Amino acid sequence: MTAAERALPHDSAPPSSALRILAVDDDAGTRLTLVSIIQAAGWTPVVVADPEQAYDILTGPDAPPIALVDWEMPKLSGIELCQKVRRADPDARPYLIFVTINASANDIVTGLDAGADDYMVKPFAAVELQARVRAGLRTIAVQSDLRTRLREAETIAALTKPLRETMPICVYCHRVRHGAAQWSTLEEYLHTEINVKFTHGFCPTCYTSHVKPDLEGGA
Amino acid sequence: MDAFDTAEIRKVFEDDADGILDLIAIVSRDLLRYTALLIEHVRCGEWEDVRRLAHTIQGAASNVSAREVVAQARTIELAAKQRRLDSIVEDSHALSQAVGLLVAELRNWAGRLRASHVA
Repeated sequence: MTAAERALPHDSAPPSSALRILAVDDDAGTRLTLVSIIQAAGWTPVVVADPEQAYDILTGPDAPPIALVDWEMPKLSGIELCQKVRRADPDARPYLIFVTINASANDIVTGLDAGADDYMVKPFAAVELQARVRAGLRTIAVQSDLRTRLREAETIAALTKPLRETMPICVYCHRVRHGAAQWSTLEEYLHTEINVKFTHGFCPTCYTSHVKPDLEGGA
Repeated sequence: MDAFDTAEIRKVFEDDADGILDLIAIVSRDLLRYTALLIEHVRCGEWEDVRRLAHTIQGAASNVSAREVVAQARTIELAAKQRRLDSIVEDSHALSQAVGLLVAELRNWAGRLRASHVA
């Protein structure tokens, strides 16, 4: 084992809070190369040789958002790893990039169909790999934003669901019934249920029929 | 054509001589070991092992952008996969020679790097 191999980061917690990138490859030279490329971009490498360990990291707490995955590895191929990760939690969706020597169109199709988001053929230029990771980060940001907006939309939909249903209202006092037998003014109800805040004013009709006579009478 | 791409390796390691020397040590050791094993498996007619090793050699050689060795190993991998055995013995010896030359050039470069690093 060379000094560099001994020094390669493994599954220990990264020393900094920089973005973590997982790389899994059973080839020591490739691991060393990937560590250098990842560090040069200012990210923190999490490098493993064992695909099963990579699976545990990707499906565990604080999983790195991006993983560089070799194809041919002992115990578990990159293809199987991608499929397992996707099956484990379809919502978690780490961004998976194949980094492999397999270069045919069929290989690329197989890799992407297994659940990978991108595919790079070795040998490659370091700057290209870094650019693809940055593209992955943009995709992750968009997906994260969409998930947040979806959650917000679902919350609003749940809150306003009663407003889209038939609601009993008193013909005299205009209180609405909600819950089992609770009656509230529309203002109280909307404020309590969906936090609507009211400011008081008057509409043109009421201005003419109520406010204006008051003002004129007062004068 | 150069046996490997010094410019790309320098870029990857940002001219860090220690990193480059480590890479050369790992790649040289692995390529020689994998190629010796591949020749042995060819001799024994163990084609799945030949395919696997040819694949592994491509991965190791790609770390120094040794495109010629990668291409030669790919030819052997495909031949082993498709059981086209007519030229595989010859191809594996040609690969062995190419790997020997590549490792010699890598070590040569390592010597120069070490000398300039120390100086």
